[in-house]
Formats: sequence, structure tokens, C-alpha cells
Amino acid sequence: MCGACGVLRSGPEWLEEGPERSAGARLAERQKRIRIVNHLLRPTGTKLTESAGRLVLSSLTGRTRVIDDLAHVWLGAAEIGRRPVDPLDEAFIGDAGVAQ
Amino acid sequence: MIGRADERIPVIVISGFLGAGKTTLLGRMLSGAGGKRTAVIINEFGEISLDHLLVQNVQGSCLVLKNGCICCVIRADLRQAIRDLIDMRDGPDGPLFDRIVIETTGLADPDPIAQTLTSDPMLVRQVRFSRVITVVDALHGALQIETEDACLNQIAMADQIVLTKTDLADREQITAIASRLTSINPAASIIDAREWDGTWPELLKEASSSIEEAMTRTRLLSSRLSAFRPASDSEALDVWRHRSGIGSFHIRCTEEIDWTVFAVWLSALVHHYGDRILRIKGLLFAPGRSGAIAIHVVRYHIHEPVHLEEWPDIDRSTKIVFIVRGLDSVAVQRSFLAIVCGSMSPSTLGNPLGDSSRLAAQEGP
Repeated sequence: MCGACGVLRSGPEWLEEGPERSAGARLAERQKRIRIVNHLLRPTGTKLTESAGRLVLSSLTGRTRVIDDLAHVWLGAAEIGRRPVDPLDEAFIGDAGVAQ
Repeated sequence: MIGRADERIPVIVISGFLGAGKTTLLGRMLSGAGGKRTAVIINEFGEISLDHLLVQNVQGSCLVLKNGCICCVIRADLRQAIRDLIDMRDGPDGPLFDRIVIETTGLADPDPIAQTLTSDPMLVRQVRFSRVITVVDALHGALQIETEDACLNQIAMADQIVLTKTDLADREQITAIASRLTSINPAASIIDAREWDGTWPELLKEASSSIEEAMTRTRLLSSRLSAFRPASDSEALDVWRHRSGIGSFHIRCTEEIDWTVFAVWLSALVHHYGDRILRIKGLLFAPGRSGAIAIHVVRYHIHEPVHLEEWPDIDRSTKIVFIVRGLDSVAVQRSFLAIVCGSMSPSTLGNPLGDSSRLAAQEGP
């Protein structure tokens, strides 16, 4: 699995882009992935942030979950958010698509 | 594929309704080229096992699971059987094998077997769920599809369908059953058992060719059926969905797809709706790549994406086939458009079921 496909990988490396790219490009890709995830998370009232190399999912009420991989994001949102992530629900589809 | 090779043992599931010819196919597979280094697990429903006596060339690496069906009551036995085989192989003078073939009972649903193979923490480290080969009787298959949900599930889960008893059926019967199979599972390739030369590669075709063939068949089928489609797409959904709720549809998009957006969307979709997703197969048109990215989903499990070095033909577009049970195809298409194609120009975001040159979605059965 290459870095680009690694977004589906288990473990924290799902945010990593392939090593062939520059450090700046990898950082940009990493931020982009977090931004895309956060776009989908908006209706749940949760947000994914990176702090000191750790990914943390936080709710509006201050509850948090340390996140390992992408599947863990959806699980965490269902636990501490207002609602689970449902990509077929109008609230998640929105009208503007994902901001990249 | 880019990245290190997957060294886990591939597991192939042979499925098919009672009397369809699974054991005959297995016998041909084992006696053909490449069949020697194969371990076999045979599941029989009754107390007296016969099938393993009919299969030659197994030579000590054949286990029989009887008194129950591995898709339900003895699923733990399947786990243990695979573990036993691997222990045997790793032991002194153990049998050498490169793959494991599971022949299910005629009543088994391959879906829970696939779930066991893809979700059991011990198994996923040692074996890789490879594919489902479903045997369908050309003579009786049409009736079995209508009356037996197990038969329908077996077809819906197939990567490869082997049509048997075609020497006993007339041309009209063969055409009718082939068309029915294609409408249920447009992502599976179909071969006539008479025309199969006994080699494994024919049964283990790469997903890309299957998808391409399936897309062609789906387009042809859709064209043939278009005259009968109601004017309203929402009505069409009910017409072409099987009574059991199983249905298929595909999404096609000619614009490049941002892989990261797609992967996040697919992950969320599979996480929330994995219980309704039998299979997803697709080719992704992603920027900066010479070939397509092939994706393959079984229920909650997303297989590792495969990078193809080149496109199978000049049609460079994203094509994704969904085989689902009780999942709203229009909602999936709308979600795909809004989230994955959200960055595209407004003209792309038209009627998701319309005849757009850039994006087309088509219902199966």
C-alpha cells in the first residue's frame, strides 16, 4: 500500500503520504486529510486535531478520544458526538461538498 | 501493486447451491496445473462425509467439517480448521501448500464466511480472503435464484461464477441464466465450465478485467432494458431490486477523483453501512497515476487498494459497482457526488441518475 492509499490503513500512519514527497508536501497532505475528516465530522459536533504527534477527537462538551486510525475516528464520533457519521444523511452531504 | 507483497495464505471459497457441481469443480481444480499445493477444507451438512472421498490429489491436507454449516453453527470450527492446517504446515514434515480452498455446503451463505476470514484477529494475520467462486447450475439455477435466498446470496457474493451443466441446457436457457447472473452481480465474471481449461489463472482473474467486463455487460444490459424502464427513477429502483432487497448499481465518473477524499468517504460509508454492503468493486481515476486504482470491499472490510500499471482500455473513468442489500442507491450516488465530486464544476453536480457524459449511475436488478 503506498502512502496515498495508506489513508485506509490501520494505525496512526494513515495520515502519512509516501516518503518520495518532500516534508512540506507530506505536511500539507496530512493537514488536508484532517481537514477532509473534519468536514464530515461537522454534524457530530466533534473535531479531530493533532497535538504533539497525537490525534485527538474532541466534542463540544469537552470529551476526548485518542485516535489511532480512520475507522477509530467514526467510532469515537459515535461515542462522544451528537450523532454517528452517516455519509448518506443530508446533514453530512451538505450542499458544498468537501472543501479541499 | 506498490508496497511489499502480501505473504499471507490466500483463501478461496467455493460456493454454489446443492447439486450445482462444487465438488466436481474442486476436483478439476486440484488435478489441474497448480492444484497440487492446495489445502482443502470441505464442509458437509450431514454426519456422513462423502465429498472428500470424491476429491483426489489432496494428500493429507484435507479437513472435513461436518454436522453443520460453517456459515452459521460451526463458524468457530472453520477458524480452528484453518489454524490446524497452518500448524500442520509449520510442523515437521507438514504438507506444503500455497493456498487454502474451502468448499461450503450447498446451503451456505458465503458472506459470514468472508466476514470470519476478514475480521477474526487471529485469521487476518495469517490468511487473506482471496475470492468467492460460485458454481451455478445452468439447468436449475434460474428457479433456485427465485426460490432460494441462499442461492441468491451465493451469486451476489461471487467474484467468479462458473456455469455448469451447460451441455444439458439449451441456448435460450444459458442466455437467460447468464443475463440473470449479470443483473444480480455485474462485478463477477462468468465462465462456462465446459470452456474452462482447468488452469487456475482463469478462475483467479484480476479484479480489473472483471470490472471492465462487468461494466460492459451492465451497459449492454441497461441498454436492453431501457425500453422498459419507468419514466421516474425512483420507480425504477423498486422495479429492478430483487424481492430480498439485494440490488446492484454502479457509479461512473469521467473526472479525476481525489483519492484522499474518496478514501475518507468510502471508510465512513463502509463503517456505517457495512452490514448492507455485500460487495463494492471499482476502478478509480486518480490524478498523477498512469493506471487505475482498483478497490474491493466485502462488508466492513476494505481490501488493500491495487495500483494497476495501465488502464484496461481507453476509457479512463472511475467506475464503481455496488452490490447491496437494502441500501438506497440514489442516496449513495448523491453522497458520492456531493462529497467525493464536491470540488468539481457545477455542471457535474446535475441529476445523479441523468444521462450525463461525465457521470452516470445505473441500477441493476
